[in-house]
Amino acid sequence: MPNETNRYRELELSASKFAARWIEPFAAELDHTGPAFPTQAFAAGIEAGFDRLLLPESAGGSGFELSDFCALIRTLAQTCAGHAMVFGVHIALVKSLSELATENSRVLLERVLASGRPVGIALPDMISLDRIETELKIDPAAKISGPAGLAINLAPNGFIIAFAQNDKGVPAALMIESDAKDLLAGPELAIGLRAMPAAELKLEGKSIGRANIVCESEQALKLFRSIIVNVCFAVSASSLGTMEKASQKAFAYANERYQGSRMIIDHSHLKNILGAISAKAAAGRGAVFNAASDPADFLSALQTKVRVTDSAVQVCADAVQILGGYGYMREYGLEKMMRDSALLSLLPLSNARAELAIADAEKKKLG
Amino acid sequence: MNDYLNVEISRRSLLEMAPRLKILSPLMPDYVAALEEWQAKAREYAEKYIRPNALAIDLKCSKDPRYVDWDLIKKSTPYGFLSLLVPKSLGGGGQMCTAFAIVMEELCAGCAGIANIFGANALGVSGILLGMDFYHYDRALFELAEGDRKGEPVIFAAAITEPLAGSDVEDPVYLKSAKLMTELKPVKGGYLVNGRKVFISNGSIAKYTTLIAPTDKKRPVESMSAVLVKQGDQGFSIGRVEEKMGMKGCPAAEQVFEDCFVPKENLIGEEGIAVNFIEVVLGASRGPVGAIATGTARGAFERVVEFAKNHKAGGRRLIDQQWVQIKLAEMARKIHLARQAYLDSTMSFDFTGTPKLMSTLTTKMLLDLTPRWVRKTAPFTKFLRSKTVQKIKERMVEKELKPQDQRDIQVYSSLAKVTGSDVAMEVAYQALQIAGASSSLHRYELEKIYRDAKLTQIYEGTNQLNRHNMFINFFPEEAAHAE
Ligand SMILES: Cc1cc2nc3c(=O)[nH]c(=O)nc-3n(C[C@H](O)[C@H](O)[C@H](O)COP(=O)(O)OP(=O)(O)OC[C@H]3O[C@@H](n4cnc5c(N)ncnc54)[C@H](O)[C@@H]3O)c2cc1C
Repeated sequence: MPNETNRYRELELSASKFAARWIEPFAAELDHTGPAFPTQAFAAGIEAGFDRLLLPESAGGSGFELSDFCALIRTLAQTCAGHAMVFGVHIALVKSLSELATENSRVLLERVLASGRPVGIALPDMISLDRIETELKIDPAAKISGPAGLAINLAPNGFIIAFAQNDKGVPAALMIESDAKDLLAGPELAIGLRAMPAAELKLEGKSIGRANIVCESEQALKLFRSIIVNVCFAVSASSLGTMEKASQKAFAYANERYQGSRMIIDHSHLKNILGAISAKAAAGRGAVFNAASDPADFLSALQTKVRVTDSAVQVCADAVQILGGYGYMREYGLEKMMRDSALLSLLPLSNARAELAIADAEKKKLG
Repeated sequence: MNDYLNVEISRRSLLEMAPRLKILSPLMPDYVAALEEWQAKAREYAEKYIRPNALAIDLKCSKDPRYVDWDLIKKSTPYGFLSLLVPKSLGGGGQMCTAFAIVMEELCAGCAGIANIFGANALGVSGILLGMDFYHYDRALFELAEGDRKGEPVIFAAAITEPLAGSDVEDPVYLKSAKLMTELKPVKGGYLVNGRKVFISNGSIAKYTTLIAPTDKKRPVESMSAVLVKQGDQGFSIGRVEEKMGMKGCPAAEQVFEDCFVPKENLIGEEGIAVNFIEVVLGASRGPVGAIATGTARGAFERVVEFAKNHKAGGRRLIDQQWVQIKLAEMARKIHLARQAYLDSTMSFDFTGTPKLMSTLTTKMLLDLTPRWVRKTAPFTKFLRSKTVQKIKERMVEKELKPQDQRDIQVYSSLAKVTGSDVAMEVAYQALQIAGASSSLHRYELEKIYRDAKLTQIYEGTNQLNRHNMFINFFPEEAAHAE
C-alpha cells in the first residue's frame, strides 16, 4: 500500500476533483457515442501536469513514483476506465521514453511534451515477450510493411509508438503521427474504453522518415519492455479502480434492493458473492501497490496485471449479476464497467498470452 | 470474408452433436428425423440471414433500442420458427421443447440477440399452450400459424417481471412477500389492469402478451392469473425500451397498464392458477435458455476457431499452438456438456411433462378430430371453458404426470440454464483471450458474443435462483426449513 503521506492524499484528492470536473459529466455519453478521444479532458490533464508526473524533478517533472501513478490512474478509473487509460498510457509512454535517454528519444520526448499532444502505442500481436514478434519490417529506405497490431490511445494530432524489425531481425521503435490517414483507418468501435480510441494499424508498404525511428536494436527492445511494464501498471491500476467502483455499486444496490422477503444483501448466498467481490478488490489493491512500490520489474508487472485484470473481470460480471436485469442496462453504469474490464484484460496483451510470457520469464530465472 | 462453414463443428450433424439422438434414431426414426429437419432449417436461416446481419443490427440497436429488423423476421416465416410449437392441426409446426431448443442453438450460433426474438415469442406462446386453453388455441395460436403461412409475422411476449419484483415473481416461496404493482382487478365482464411490467423481451413489438398478475395484490400466491393482452388495447402502452449491454436485436420494453380493460375470455386457464402455471412455463423454457446459451457459446467457438486459423502470433498460426488447441478443446467439451444438459431438460419435459397431455386420446379428439369451426361455436366454447372440462384436465394431469417427474423437470431445467449460461460466459471470455487485443473490436464479433452471453445468466430466473430451485427440488424437506 502507498504511504499515507500528505502528498499521496493530496494526489488522490486532486484526481477525484479532476474526475468530477472533467470526466464524470462526459464519460457515459462518450462511451455511448464513442469511440472519441476526450480532447478537452486531456488538455486539462496536461495543464494539471499529469504528463510530467513520473519525470524526475531534474527533468522538469514532478518526481512522483510508480505507486503515485497507480493511485492517480486508479482514482480516475473509479469514474471512467477509458479516461484513466488515456492518461495511463500517455504517462507510461512518456516515462519509458524518458528512461531510454537516447539522443533521438530525448528529442522526440521534448516534441511530445512541448506539443501537449497524446501518445499511443501499437501493440504487436505478441505471444512471447522475449523478442518483438511483430512482422513489421523496415527496409533500407525506411519502408515498413505488415500488420502492427492494435493501436491504442489514438487522438487527432497524437503520436503513436510502433515496433518493427528489419530483414535481419533487428528491432526498431518508430514514432508515427496518429492522424497519418494512410496508416490508420480511424478509430474503430471496441468493447470498452471508448475514451481511448483504438484501431488496427496498417503499415503495408508505407514509407516513414528516418527521423521517426526512435531507436534500434537493444535500445528498441529495452524500450519495448519498459513500455510493456509501464502500460501493465496503467492497466492494473485502471482495473483496480474499475472493480472498486463496481464493488461499491454492488454493495449499495444490494443494501437497497428488497427481494426474497429481505434486502438482498441479507441472503447468505449473495453474501458469498459480495464477500468474494470485496476480497478480490482488496487483494487487487494490495497487489497493485505492492508491485508498484518495488522497482518496476517486467515479471511482477505482468503477474500483477494478469491477477488484477482477471479479478476485475470477475468482479464486474458479478456486480452486474447482483443488480439482476438492472445490471444489464446502460443506465446503471455497471455494464460499461464489465465491458471496460474485459478490454483491460486484453491489454497490453491478453491474460492467456501474458501467462506464456510469465512462464518464459520464470524459466529464464532458472537459467 | 469469414468462412464460418469451414468450422467443422458447424457442419456436424445433429446425430454427431447429440449421440443420444443417434442411439434413439432406429427406435424413434420419425421423432429424430423431425429434429434433424428443424435443425437443418434453422442452420440455413442462421447462415443465410442472421449471421450476415448480426453486426449491423447490433449497431443499429445501439443507436436506437426500438429498432427491429422486420424484414429479417419476415424472412423466417417460410421456415415457421414462430409457430413451431403450435399444434399441426392449427397449421403450426407441431413440435415440442426439444425441437425448439435445437432450433435456438442454431439461431444463437448466428446471433443470440436476433434469435432472442424467437425465444421470447415461444415464452409467450408456451403460456397458452401449456395452459391448454383451447379457446386461445383456436384464435391467437391459429393467427400465429397463419401469420407464418402468409408471411405476416405475429409476435408474442410474456410479461412476468415487475420493477420491484423480479426473482420474487419467479419463485412461489417468495411471491407472498413480493412488492407487486400490477393487478388484474375483477370488474364486470373481465378485469381492469393497472401497473407496470419491465424488461419484457419483444414487449414493444408483440401483438399478444401473456400477462401474469394477481387479481388481488395482497394474496398473490392464491390469485396469480394469466391473461392475454393485445397491442393497441386501450390503456396498454409501451414505456421505455431499454438500452442493453447486449442481445440488442431483441427489444426489451416496459409495458404500462392504466385502467386497461381485459375481457374475461382473455383469461388463460382458470383464475388464480398462475403460480403453478409459471412453474410449468419455466420448467419448459429454461431448457431452451440453456440451448440459447449453448448456441451463444458455439458462436464464439466457431468464430475464434476461424480467427485462430487465419491469424498468426509469434510467427505461427494460433491454431497450431498447443495452448490454443487445449483451450479450444476445453471450449468444445463445455459446449458438448451444455448441449447434453439442455437435451436432458427438454426431452424430460417433452416425454414426462405437460406435453404428454397433448398426446392423450381426449386431447387428440378435441384438437385433431373436432373441426376448428365447431370448436369456435358458442356452445362448444362454453363447454371448453366449463367446470367439466376443467375437471377432465385435472384428472388427466393426475393420471399422466408423476410428481417425481415434475420435480426432475424443475431440476433439469434449472441445471440446463445454469450450465449453459456459465459455459456461454466462460467460452466467450476465453475466445477473447485467445484472439487477443484485436478481438475487442466490434467487427470480429467476439466482443458482441461476450456482451450477449451475460444475459443468459440473468433472465429466466437468475442463476442464483435457478441453483436454489435445484436444491428445493432435490431436497424438498430441507428446503422447507430454509432461512
Ligand atoms: C434483457 C432482458 C430481457 C428480459 N426478458 C424478460 C421477459 O421477456 N419477460 C419477463 O417477464 N422478464 C424478463 N426479464 C426479466 C428477468 O427475468 C429478470 O431480470 C430476472 O428474473 C431477475 O430479476 P431482477 O432483474 O428483478 O433481479 P432481482 O430479483 O432484483 O435480483 C437481484 C439479485 O438478487 C439475487 N436474489 C434475488 N432474490 C434472491 C433470493 N431469494 N435469494 C438469493 N438471491 C436472490 C439475484 O440472484 C440477483 O443477483 C428480462 C430481463 C432482461 C435483462
